[in-house]
Amino acid sequence: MMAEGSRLYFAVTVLMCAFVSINGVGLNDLLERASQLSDKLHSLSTSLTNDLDSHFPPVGRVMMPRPSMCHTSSLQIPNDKDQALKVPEDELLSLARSLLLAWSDPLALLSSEASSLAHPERNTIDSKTKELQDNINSLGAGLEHVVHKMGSSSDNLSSLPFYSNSLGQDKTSRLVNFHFLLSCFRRDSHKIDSFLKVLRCRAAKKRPEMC
Amino acid sequence: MRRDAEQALTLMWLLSWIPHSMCHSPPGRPRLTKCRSPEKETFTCWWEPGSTGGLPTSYHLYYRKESSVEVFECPDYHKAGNNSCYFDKRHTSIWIIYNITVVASNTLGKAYSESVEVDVMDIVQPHPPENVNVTLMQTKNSPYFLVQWPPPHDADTRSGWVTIKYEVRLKMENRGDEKDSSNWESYDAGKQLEFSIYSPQPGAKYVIQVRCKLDQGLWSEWSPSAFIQLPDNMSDTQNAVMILAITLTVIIFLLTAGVLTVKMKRVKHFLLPPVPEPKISGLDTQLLKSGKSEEIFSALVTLGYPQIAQSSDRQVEYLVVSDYDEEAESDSKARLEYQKKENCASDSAQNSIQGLNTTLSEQAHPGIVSNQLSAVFGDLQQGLHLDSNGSSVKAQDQNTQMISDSKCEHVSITPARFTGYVEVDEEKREQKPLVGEDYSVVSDVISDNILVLQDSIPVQGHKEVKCDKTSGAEETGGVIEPLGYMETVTTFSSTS
Repeated sequence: MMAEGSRLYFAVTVLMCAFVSINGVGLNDLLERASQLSDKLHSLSTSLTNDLDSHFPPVGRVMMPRPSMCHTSSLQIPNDKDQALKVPEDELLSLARSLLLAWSDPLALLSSEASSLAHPERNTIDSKTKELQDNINSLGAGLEHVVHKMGSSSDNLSSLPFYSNSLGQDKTSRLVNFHFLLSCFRRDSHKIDSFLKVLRCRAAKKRPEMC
Repeated sequence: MRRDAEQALTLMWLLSWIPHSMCHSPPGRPRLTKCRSPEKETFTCWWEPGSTGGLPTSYHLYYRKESSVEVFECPDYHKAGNNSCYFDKRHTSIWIIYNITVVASNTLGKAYSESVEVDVMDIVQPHPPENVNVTLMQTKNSPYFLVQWPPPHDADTRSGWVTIKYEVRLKMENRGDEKDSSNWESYDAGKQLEFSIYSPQPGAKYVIQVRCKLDQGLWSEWSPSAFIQLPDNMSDTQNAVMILAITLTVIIFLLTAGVLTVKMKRVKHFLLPPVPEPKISGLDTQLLKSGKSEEIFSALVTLGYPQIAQSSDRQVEYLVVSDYDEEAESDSKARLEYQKKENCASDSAQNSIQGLNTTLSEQAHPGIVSNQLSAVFGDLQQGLHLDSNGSSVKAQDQNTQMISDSKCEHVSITPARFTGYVEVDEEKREQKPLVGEDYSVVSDVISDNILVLQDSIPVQGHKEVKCDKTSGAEETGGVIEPLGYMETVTTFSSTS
């Protein structure tokens, strides 16, 4: 009888711990963690761009990659602070998640092509690209938790398909396309970061010292 | 008149060769130098005018947003000073590329600058914090600096639209060399608005500056310097206390080490009591280590290894002569001590006994079995070579190596149990029949071939026998002659 009772107690404790660990983290903490990850994402993409630019052939530098040519350009996003502050939270979240989702395939492509780039910083680029992929996955998972916590409709994501499956046939076009994709990604990572940080501060109204 | 006209023409012709700067001309191309956004909500662009061409030149900035073809003009030329264009909130969009051109125009013409493409995201550079505040906090014995600063005045961190990270640097001011960048120490302060710097040097003067950056943009300029001067008489008691503590610890440590080294063994025994090793009696670990298999095996074999055979010529039972260790207490068995002439290795005496036992068993020397001593000791006697032949002992040596190569000089036998002995000399042997038909002298029968005869001579000490004297008849006063005893038995056995 004693053993059964203690076993029951133990099971209940374990379940409670699991429950608390999954759901016990507050929304604030979840968003704090998510914004840290998105900050890391953006800083990684910036440093990757710098690495790429350090030895970029002059051909590609003249023309700035047009954001309208990025595959995520069709997504309607707020373009200044006032607009962004007016967007409701779950829409902000779904924007961030849509953008994040739209980049999982292209990043896989970048990751596979990074090792064969015709660039002297190829190894650094390769490792950073892989890190980027991991980061995206972590952030995606984290945002899932946030969605559950916020209770918003989770299937509100826009589909932003990426159709290419190769960067090009020759070295130069591969490099140019790599650079282009990366610049699109840097911009989108900045968007994700900004939206999540706005979300974070909005959720932290009870704790204004956080923002 | 003609000359005037000629002069005018020449003058005009000459004037045409004078450099253009002396003349009016269309303006030179302006150049956009930089664009900056301090808070991600507005931005400003500056340009550098080209040559004016000597005429009043006006500058206009036109921009086009990426997604549309419509061209707009700069909303504000004045707010940011000369040759600048300020885009206010309404006109600023982020994540969109602006295509900006500056046009210089005068009465003679226009000049277009090169187009510049700008995304607000890439040109973010905040203002540095103003009013950096440094205070010296004296807590107990460890004073430190507390550096505090307000955020840049136009950045909106409350809504989370911008995230600002700060960096603090300080250096000791000496000889007023502000430009010396190598002495600066930089610290990353994260998103905090204050920073503590510990362990300042007393009496020194420090210069402190702060700068910041927005998202992953450009670092701002360094803030105006803040100065602080430390007083000379800062308390060093903490240092003294620490030094004292360390010294004490070192002394204690040394003492402990000394005590330990002195009492090493005792401490070791206390902490790690020695575990008794298993011991097989007769197994010599030294021999094992030497690795000579022959000796090892023979050593093992000697240990109580049963007699190979009771060969037919041996008619007497083997008297077990036991180890010193086991039989220390009991006085019921005879102790055989072989003392060698050269090496009297008493601790190997027992081994030698065993060795002798075996050896004797191995070597059948029926010839050596003399009537004198062979009986009781059986095979032992053979090794004893009680006759003058000393070689057999040596032969044993080869086998057992436990017996040195000396001739067996003495045999001291300490019988303990027997109550009677018969003295026997070889010479006397014939003289004195031992028992003959008179069985009344037999007081006890111990085993098949051991008889105890009654005799008047009491058992006391031990007898020393010289091996090479076959008579073996050295009697020290009052000492029994176990030889005789043995002889008796032999006689019996031979007759039985």
